[in-house]
Amino acid sequence: MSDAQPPVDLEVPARPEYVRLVRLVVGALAASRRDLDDDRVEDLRLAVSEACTLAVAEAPNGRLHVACTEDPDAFVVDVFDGPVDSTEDGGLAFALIRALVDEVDVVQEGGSRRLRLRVISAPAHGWG
Amino acid sequence: MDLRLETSDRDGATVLSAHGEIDVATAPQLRQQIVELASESSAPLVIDLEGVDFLDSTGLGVLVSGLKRFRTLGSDVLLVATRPRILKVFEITGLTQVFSIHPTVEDAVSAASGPRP
Repeated sequence: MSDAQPPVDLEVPARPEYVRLVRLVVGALAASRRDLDDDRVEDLRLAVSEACTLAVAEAPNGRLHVACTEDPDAFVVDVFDGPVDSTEDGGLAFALIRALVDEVDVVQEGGSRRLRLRVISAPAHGWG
Repeated sequence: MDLRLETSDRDGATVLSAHGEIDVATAPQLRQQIVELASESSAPLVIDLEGVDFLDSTGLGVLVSGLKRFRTLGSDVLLVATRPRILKVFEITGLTQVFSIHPTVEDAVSAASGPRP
């Protein structure tokens, strides 16, 4: 298994019609890993969609920035400047995000804030 | 992919069939259709989600507000869903306890014509 790859950055207008594009690209990247099955990829697609929907609501005239990083043991998606905590509006969205990915963190790094979603990969050929 | 919506009348119920993806971009279209149907008739509404490939919390919010709207009118909203990906969204959010979810349109229409809880 290879070491971590450089991140893939996506930046699109922060508008509802672009959320679908982001989940399609993230889904395609995640699906290219043999150690993530279809169900996990679909879970991630929905979680990313939820995070992007909340980020778009917070920055209606800005840009939506998402970075995907392939760690050896995980697929990591950062949604920049997104939500920091569950709110009344984001209650259902956060319930879904927490249920669908393995880890959810708010990361403050280099002056930016990101919602980080991690899907831990299963070993492709068992633990042996 | 756009969201395509079709309505028909069936045995005293209105059937709204959705095809495509329900997300933050397309949910307003669904909301508008439900509001229009509620203003036209108080017949129970069956929303068929069998043609829906993707459903997020925005779509769930629209369905919940539609349910409230119809119940305020003394009517009801029933859903048709069997796809595991779609049912999973209802299960995670606990909305399987809120909605009456049926495997076929026939079942939902039949349940709609029976006594309401």
